[in-house]
Amino acid sequence: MWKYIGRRLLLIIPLVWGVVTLIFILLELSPGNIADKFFTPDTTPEVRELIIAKYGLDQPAIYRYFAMLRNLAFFQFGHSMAQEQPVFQIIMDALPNTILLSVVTLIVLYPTSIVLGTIQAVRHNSITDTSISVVSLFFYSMPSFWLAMMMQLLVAYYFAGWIEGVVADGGPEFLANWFALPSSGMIDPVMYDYMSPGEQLLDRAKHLLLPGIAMGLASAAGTARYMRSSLLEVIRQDYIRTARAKGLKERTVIIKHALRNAMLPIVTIIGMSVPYLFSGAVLVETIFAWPGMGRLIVQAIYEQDTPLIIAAFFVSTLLVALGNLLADVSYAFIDPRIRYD
Amino acid sequence: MTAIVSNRNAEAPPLTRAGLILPGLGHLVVGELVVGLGMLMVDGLLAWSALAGFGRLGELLLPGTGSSIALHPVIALLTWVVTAGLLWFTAYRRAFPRLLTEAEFNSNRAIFMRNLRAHTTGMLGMYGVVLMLLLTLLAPLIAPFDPIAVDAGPGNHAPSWAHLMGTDKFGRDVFSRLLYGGRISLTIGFVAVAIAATIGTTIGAVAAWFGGWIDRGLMWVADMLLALPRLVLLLTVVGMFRVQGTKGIYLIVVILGLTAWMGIARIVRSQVLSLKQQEFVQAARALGLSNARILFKHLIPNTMAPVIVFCSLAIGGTMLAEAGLSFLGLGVPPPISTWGVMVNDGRKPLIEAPWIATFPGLAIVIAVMSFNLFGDGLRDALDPKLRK
Repeated sequence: MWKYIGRRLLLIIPLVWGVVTLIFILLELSPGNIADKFFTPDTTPEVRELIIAKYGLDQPAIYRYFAMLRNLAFFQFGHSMAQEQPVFQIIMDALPNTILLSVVTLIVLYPTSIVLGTIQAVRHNSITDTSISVVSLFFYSMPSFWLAMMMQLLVAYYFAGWIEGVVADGGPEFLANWFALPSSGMIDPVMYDYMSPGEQLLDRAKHLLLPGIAMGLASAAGTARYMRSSLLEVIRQDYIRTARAKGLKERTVIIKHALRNAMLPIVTIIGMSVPYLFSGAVLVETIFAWPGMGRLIVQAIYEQDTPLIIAAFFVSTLLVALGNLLADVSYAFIDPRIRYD
Repeated sequence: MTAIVSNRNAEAPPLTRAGLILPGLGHLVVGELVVGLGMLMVDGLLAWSALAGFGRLGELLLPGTGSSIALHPVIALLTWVVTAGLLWFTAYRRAFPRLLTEAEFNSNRAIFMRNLRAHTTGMLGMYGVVLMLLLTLLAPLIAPFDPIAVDAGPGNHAPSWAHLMGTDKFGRDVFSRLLYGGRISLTIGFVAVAIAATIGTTIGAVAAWFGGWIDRGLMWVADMLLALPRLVLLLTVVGMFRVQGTKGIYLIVVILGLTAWMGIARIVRSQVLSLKQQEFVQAARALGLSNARILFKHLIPNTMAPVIVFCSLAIGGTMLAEAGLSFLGLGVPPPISTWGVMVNDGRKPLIEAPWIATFPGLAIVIAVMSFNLFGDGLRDALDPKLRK
């Protein structure tokens, strides 16, 4: 097992190297660089050279390429060109926020979708099955940014406005405290510092809910679809018939015998969903003003901040590879027949 | 000698002849609801575009007058005629079916067509796709206003009979913009997936056929691209090479195609790996055929079924990616508007004028959903395990 994990970890190195090289080549081929934005038509050639030299852009590309590889090998991300801060610091500020967003998907949306997919497969071809299918396909086909905007409009504007109206008419105070969800940001910009720790936690949770759902709902809807077909395939097999023939309760047959096998492809799909979550984060964080990796990457691209772009790809590729590895390792826990030697 | 057997409806009930009057009616009265309603819907669309557009055909076809952008009314007219012809032909075939030989009846193609026709949701998806395509192709006839005319109505006007989906802040008609924007969105989806299918098929087949380090190298590239968040990669490329004007569309299409071939390559690779062992390939080798000929004439045609299914599902994903890119302001440059750009336009006035963002978003959902339903239907119809 450990040997297998070690071998897989070693395989991450060529993957990350390939990604970083590809991005480096793309950045080199693209016209313009960060120094351009300091130039005006009046800039003298001497000043131009100074600025270019300040960012190390006067050295040949091949030299910068190997310097970058050497630095990345020791996790030295260098200095952001646009933000005048260590890249490591910037990423460490942003990454936890994005992970926080994906936590909603991982611990709320995915388990829900697995339960829904199971219900669909158990009640195959019933009205429940069809209606869940239609709803999940609807969300599966939805652009996350549009979902985010519609939630801002319907939940954070119309519904919250209605709740506040109810409270203003003498309704109980807790309604507004609990159900009036904010439309953007991570914390209440004004009141947060004056709250008790419990209220602060609630405030954070309220801010987290809408972007978290917007980011993961499409992917979770896809998971429900896969869960349904995977379980349907398992239920048809002989050993399930045997289990039923033994007189086991249907509930036991499904949960103990069928689900375990049906979960295997789902674990792979969840492990491979990291890049999709990242893509979703780019859009959702932009809409909800959420200071995470997605917004960071967009900003870095707009500013042509080479070290930050490369570091962001480096980190996201690492996370993707680790997600895949985690999926494969958890296989062994779900299915004792699988052994990695 | 071939035995003549009947098609599913060699003796079509006389009621099916109602379809000759109004295509779809014939199917409907004998109980084929999905097909009947779908055809009636297309009938309605054709009637609508005829009523709305034929009156101003002269104005549309005359060059230089009318709209400020190229409207392609010729394509719209052609689409109208071809669709009407197909509708009546289908209705005629239903009323007076052609007799099939047994071999024809049991051919793969006939089985596939029967399965697909029996697949309710798949047919729904197909009609959704057809409807979207017709709506956008017939846009010059249907659209009540010039999509980029800024004075079509008062600014930020709520939906009404004059402006079915309201107007944006410049007074442009959202419905007309939606119809024209759909052309670009759908075209980008189709062309990008066509590029991806070509690249993916070639790479997958080459990797499986030659094996060894070629296989390992190509699959390493595929794995690498799969590990990258697609939207972030698209953003990097498009953001770095800001291409202005119409050329921007070509860049986006090509990049979308270049980032979608990996799934197809893997499918084709696994198919070719198993086909490689079969006798007909060995025979082709023994005949001394070249590698290229075996690959393109004997192997690839046999892998097409799953590729087609994958493509119909990938069009939805590609349209979503394009919409996301346009939404971030890095998509198709103005004055052309795709649905993603239109949603972005509606972001600032979301509270005052929610219709600007709502309808294009719904259009994306319906289009992507139709492609997904149709893809599922194709997959089930092609699946030999589910054959009837």
